[in-house]
Amino acid sequence: MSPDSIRRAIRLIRTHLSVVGVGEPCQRPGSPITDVEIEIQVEMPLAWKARGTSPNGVKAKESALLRFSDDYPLYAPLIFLRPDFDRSLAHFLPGPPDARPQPCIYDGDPSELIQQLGQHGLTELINHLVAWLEKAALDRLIDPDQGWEPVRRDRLTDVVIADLDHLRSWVKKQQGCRLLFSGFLRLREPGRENVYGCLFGKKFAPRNPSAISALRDQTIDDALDQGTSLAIVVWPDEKRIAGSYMPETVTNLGELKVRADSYGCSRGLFKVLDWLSTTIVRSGLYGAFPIGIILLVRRPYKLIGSESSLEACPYIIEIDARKGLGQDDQASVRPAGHRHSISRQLLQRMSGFGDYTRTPWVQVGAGSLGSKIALHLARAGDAPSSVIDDDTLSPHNAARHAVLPLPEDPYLSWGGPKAFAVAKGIAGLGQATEHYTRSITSVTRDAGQIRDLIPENSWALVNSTASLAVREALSSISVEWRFPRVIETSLLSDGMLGIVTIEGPGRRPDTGGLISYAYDLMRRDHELSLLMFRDTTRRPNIGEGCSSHTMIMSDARISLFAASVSELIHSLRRRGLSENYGQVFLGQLHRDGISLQWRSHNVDPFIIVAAENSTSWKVHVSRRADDEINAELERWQNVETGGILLGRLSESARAIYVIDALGAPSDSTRSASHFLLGVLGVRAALEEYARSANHSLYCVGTWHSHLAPSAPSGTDHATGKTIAVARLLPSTLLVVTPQGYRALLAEGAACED
Amino acid sequence: MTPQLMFFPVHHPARDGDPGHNGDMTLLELESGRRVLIDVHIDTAADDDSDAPNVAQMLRDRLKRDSQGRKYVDAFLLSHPDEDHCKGLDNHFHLGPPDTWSKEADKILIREIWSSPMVFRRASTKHVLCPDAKAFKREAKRRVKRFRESGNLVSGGDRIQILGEDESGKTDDLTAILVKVDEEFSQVDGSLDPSLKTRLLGPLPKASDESEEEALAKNRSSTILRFTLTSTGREDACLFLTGGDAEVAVWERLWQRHYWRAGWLRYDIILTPHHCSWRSLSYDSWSEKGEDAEVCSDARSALSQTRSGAEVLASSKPITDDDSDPPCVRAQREYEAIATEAGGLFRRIGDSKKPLRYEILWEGPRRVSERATAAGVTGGGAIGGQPLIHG
Repeated sequence: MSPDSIRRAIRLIRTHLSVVGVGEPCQRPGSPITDVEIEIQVEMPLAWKARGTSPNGVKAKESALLRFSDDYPLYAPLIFLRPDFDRSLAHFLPGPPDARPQPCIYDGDPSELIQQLGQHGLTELINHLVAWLEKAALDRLIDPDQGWEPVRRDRLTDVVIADLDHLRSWVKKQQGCRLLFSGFLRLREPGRENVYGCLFGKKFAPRNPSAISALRDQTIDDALDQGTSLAIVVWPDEKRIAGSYMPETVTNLGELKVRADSYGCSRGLFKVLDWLSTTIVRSGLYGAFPIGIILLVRRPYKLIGSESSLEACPYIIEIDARKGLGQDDQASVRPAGHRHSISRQLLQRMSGFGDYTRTPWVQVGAGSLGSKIALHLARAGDAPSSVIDDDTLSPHNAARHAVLPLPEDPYLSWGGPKAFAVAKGIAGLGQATEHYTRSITSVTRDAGQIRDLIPENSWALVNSTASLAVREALSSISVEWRFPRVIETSLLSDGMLGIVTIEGPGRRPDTGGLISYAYDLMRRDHELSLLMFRDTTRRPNIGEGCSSHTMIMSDARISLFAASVSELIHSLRRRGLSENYGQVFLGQLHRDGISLQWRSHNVDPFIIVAAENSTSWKVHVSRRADDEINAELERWQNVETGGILLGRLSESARAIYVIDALGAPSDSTRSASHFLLGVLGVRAALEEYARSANHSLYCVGTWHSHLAPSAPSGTDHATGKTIAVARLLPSTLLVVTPQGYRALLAEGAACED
Repeated sequence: MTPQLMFFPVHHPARDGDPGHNGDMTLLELESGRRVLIDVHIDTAADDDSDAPNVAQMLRDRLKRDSQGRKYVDAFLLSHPDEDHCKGLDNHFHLGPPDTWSKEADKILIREIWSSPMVFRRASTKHVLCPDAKAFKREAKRRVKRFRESGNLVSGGDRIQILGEDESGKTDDLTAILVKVDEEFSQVDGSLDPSLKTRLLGPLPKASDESEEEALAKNRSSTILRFTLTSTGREDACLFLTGGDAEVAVWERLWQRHYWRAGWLRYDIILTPHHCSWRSLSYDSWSEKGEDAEVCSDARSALSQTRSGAEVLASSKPITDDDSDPPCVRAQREYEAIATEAGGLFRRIGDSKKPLRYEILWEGPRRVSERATAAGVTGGGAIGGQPLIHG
């Protein structure tokens, strides 16, 4: 620390209104440490202040030592209170009992606070110290309304990783103890103490020599050992409530005994430790094994931010296999910090998403987009219940697939099913996902197989396959099978465009209708239509003589869209899918290549009319087409009228999607008994329409009105045949009657019946 | 909510031909959430001068808005109608029927006025009211008229309580809104508020003895109140005594009336009368007698019924060691002695540009320490604070 920095620091501290004294900086020769004693006015109730002390011994003027290192201001000064400050007042950093106590004044890294606030950082640190002392005087460092403040373990280097919810689930009214298998890491650095990490498993270890024989210690490299060891979880009898706060000061076995005794955990813990010590010595093993210990201490009320009043107090003891723990209680005990193991709950908390009902959802397609969506959701603690994809990983997938290829696991870069790779990644995120390597298209006609793949109460199925065949297959699934709503996500045009369609309630509108709607939106937007209707698929060379039908774009660009889509799905998971309509989202990448703009459209359910001369074909009429038809009916109330239907059809789904309805050409004739659709300009108009949508939308038939409730007439059937003969595609003759729509299919087979 | 007592730094030192000023403005935030404001002093300097503490904004920041979007105080007490206790009232508070409150002006609505009976006195040539005091008097009279017209069926914005009886009987028909001297009341804005008990100690009734009356007449109109604030179940968590500008004769008489029940005068916090004036402690003139001036023992007794750790506050401009009064350096010494005897402190409110704030805990009042702010560290300091010559 430069003399300038300390001068400035002291000047700043002096300006603080609660600092009533600042001592001379004290630097021992050759030491990088500079100590500054300060005196702080601690505001407390006036009567206590008159006495000069609070009932719990906090003085109205407290001294504190600020210890600056030569790294200041990169690192915040350490703050120590007077040696006899009452340590039972909570919020102390762990430290040996003979050292000056260090208050935990800031919920975070004080050095970051200093950096974050610049020149104000140091005074803010003093603000925190003053507030801490004032709360200590009032004995309000622990606020029962907020919860029990766990013993601070912030700066401990050793950690235990454990799923506390799971451990707590074992706790009964009586005291108890569990021996578990655990993994461990030992980090070695020359000249420094080893650092240990213990991963508490969930598998109980038997209390017999076979547990000891499972211990392993393997050197990974110069700095790292890895192995298998044992861990102990102990809890006290329900009557043993530890209601007073004790900062972490344990350093050896004797002190641990005293501490565990005060928590009511001593008997259970030392019974296991004594057994372990004796058994390991008899085992003939060499080396030393870190044993993780968690005391589940019963507190008088729930811990802050937790629904449990059981506080985990973790320690690590390294036990020498040849000597055991010895008889003098001097074996070193290392207090450890706790980290939650990776779990759904931890990921939910970290993602900032509260709890919501997590019905299963299904990811179809585990390619570059699908894998990213599945893993984004999994990282937020909401992994799909199953992933379906029949494709396998190839080396070129490494360019964009979310799962990292691992050198030691070539299956993840070559040959392994994509669905397996995603499920394996999700397993690492503490969640279970089934993977299926079957093609979804192969099972859509079999209700039994669908039930095998798709959980019955599934919230939705996300299709990211970019496969038109899969879309068609999903659209073709019978409504009676109670198939979940489909969310389709796809990228188009070299990743310049993204589409998400979300089916409406009861799958109305379905994906086929929503995609038709999306095509129409793009057809109407010049810029979008230019992007959408150009062929950008290329067949990149992925090996000698091999190519793949895909788009060329970077992993990052896919991530741009995948991130948006994942956020959208997450939002829908929390809010629920609309009970009124389906949705289309169009995302367009700006020319700058980095800005992404999404526009959303709500799409009303289509009116579905079964063709009367077919057992399977249905006509799906969009709200817009319906409105256009009704507007024409308004104009021609006393005569039959009609026009031309535009949209697209799905052979697999046996569906004709009507998106638009054109009025009749001027040479049409209307009377009370018939309507004659003219031809003037029709051909050119239809060609122009189809061209504007790059033939993704086209003429799908005709419509006309009947003035009275009636079935399609003989004339209609005859016209249907005429159309069927002259058109290659199935068409519909839609009849609008006062009682609703009726439909005929104009298609070779249907018209021959 | 945690009750609080807040004293606003309305005073500033003499500078640039401005002699500086004393002034009072105190906000009580009760455990019930109600707010009682005692006196107001919002100088135009505070309105215009960016360097002066913006006490108007500080006050507004503490106030809630009602369902109609109006900032409000539940009660406003004017201790006496001197300018240093009511300046800025008309400018910052809505005076008039509540339905004439305007969103554009966005003034603070006073739900209930606490007024001494001085509103019934005729204008005096000796004591000319400042415009804000006149406005207050008009508003108080309007509210009394509303009460008389509608019985007690008035609502917030029209309510008034009269603290003390009028000597000429003008308050005889106001029993429902009248608090007599020595009475304790818990009504705030028409409701019983168990988190506050207020004892009316003055203005004292007219004395029968002529010479005594002469001594009392001056500044006798100051309302003297002892507030008892409840916190977390403790009824007397904080005792606060305030007495406007009441002078020595009033305090002497108060001691003689209450010495046998001195608990009525007890306090944790006192706002020294008349901005730390010597004339509240002594009949002798400080400028004439200097150190020979004697403290009136009974007045001192009335002003020194401290609880342990009591704090004695001066709502004055900076105190100078000269013969000026108020504030008076000799009074400061006396008050410091009173505070020291209690193990407490004497403080001048304006020593900080922020309000002096006490939170009332079960354990008693606790001064809220002032946090250092980023502005204090990164502010321009002299740059922009004073002219800086550059050659």
